[in-house]
Amino acid sequence: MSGKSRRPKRLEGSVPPSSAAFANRMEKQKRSDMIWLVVLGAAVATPLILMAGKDMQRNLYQTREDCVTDYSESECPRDATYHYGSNRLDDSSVRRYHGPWFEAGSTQRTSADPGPGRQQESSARNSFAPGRTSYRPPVSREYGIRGGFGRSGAIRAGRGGFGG
Amino acid sequence: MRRVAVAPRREWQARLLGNGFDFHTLVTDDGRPDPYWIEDACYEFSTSQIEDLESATQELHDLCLDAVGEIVDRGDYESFGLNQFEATLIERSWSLGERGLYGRMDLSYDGSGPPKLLEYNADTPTSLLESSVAQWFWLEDRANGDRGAHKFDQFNSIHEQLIERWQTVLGKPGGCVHFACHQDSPEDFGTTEYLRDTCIQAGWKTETLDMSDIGFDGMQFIDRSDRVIDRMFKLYPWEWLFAEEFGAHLGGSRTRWLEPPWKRLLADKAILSWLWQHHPGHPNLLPASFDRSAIAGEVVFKPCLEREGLGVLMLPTGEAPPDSPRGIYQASRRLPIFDGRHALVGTWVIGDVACGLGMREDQHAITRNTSRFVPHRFR
Repeated sequence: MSGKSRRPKRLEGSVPPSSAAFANRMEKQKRSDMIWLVVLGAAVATPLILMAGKDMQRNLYQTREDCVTDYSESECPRDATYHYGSNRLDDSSVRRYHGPWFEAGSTQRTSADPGPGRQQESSARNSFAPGRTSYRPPVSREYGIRGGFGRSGAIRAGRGGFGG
Repeated sequence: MRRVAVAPRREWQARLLGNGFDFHTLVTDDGRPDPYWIEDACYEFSTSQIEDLESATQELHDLCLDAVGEIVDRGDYESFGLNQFEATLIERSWSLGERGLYGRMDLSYDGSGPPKLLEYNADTPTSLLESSVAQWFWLEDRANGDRGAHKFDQFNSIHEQLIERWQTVLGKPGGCVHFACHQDSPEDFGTTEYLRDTCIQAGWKTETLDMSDIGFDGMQFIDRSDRVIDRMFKLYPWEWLFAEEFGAHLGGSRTRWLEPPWKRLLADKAILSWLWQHHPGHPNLLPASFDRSAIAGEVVFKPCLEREGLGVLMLPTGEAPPDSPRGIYQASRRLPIFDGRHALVGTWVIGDVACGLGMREDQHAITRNTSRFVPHRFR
């Protein structure tokens, strides 16, 4: 371990151990040489997006272009896990692109929910949304849930932490 | 072992905040500030006392690992309250050799005689940041500011052991490790963020999320960006994961969890009864049993799956708790009192190495989540 750099990156005022401290060290060292933190000290709590217990769904598209017509590019990653028509995780012959999760029953995009997609919203309004003329609607829809973990912690939170 | 009055550092609160330790002062129910970290005193040990604590912790951890192996081999789950699904996940994680990250033992120790195991917080231990970082910088600062203080050492190589352990547990860096907890709890969030910090230093990309942000897409657990979660550190008890809505998906998903499911056995106080049954008279164990009448004298009743002292009762001879949940009785071993405070020794195991110590103290005999953290040193 002595070959590793332990110079602190973010912490002001931290200093390397003094030579006296090294000299005092026992044959079997029991303490750290240097502590180095990269996240803490600048840590800011992440804002929570709580969708506890809500049924969610997302569109699956044949091509990324179709997905981007409904959403933004960053909302249309290539699906790394969904293999259409197969449960085999190593079968990469057929892939799909999925849009973001949105709340089941949502009809339009809001700041908290991406909604069913621009073309879907337009269809619901019987209006035309600019886009590719070759747009193909989602081939299917996936269903999932958020908030299936965390309930016990939320209940316990009122009584303080629960770590041991 | 003694409690020594020392001068706090100037602007110690700012120093702690600079270490990322932002929950050093709690707030009482009626809104008053209540110090969680104090540094107008410290606990001082001799080298031989630290070595006793180190060797006892190592011995107990090894016993615990042997216990898990035997329990899994025999399918001896009855006293742990597991259903078949839970037992299967535990067996699978053990047989696959999934490795644990960390744990904290609570010991009763007054400086003489063998330390006694009160419990092993092997699934969701907290007070890690203060043990690893805050008291280390406290010692360093004092060594720089006080002529005599440089003579002291500290039982604390938690930080570098964690970085090494990540490398052992995860292997060659690649992909992303997710970190989840109940983020509304400052202590849990601080502990999780500190672990994430060490994981980054081990070379991994990380993401953080609240437990309630975890999604399930029908096949896999996913994060807020719908990315599949391959490796997940959770500061969230296994019994809650099993019991909640997504618990049913734990068997089919590819997510590898830290702590692994087998830690559920060690987090259950039933392990104390199991250990005593299989190692009666062990110098670092206290008599423990599900049968009140098996232990003479004053006992402590401990619910099997509670934390932070919740539900713990001290029972005089012959008395049993009314309407109690599943729990064990442990022979009473009262914590030593220093300057009117009950002192609890918490020793850290990172991976399989005993490597650190954190002291908690309280006016009450039972340590709670509000019990104060006090730094330590030895020479």
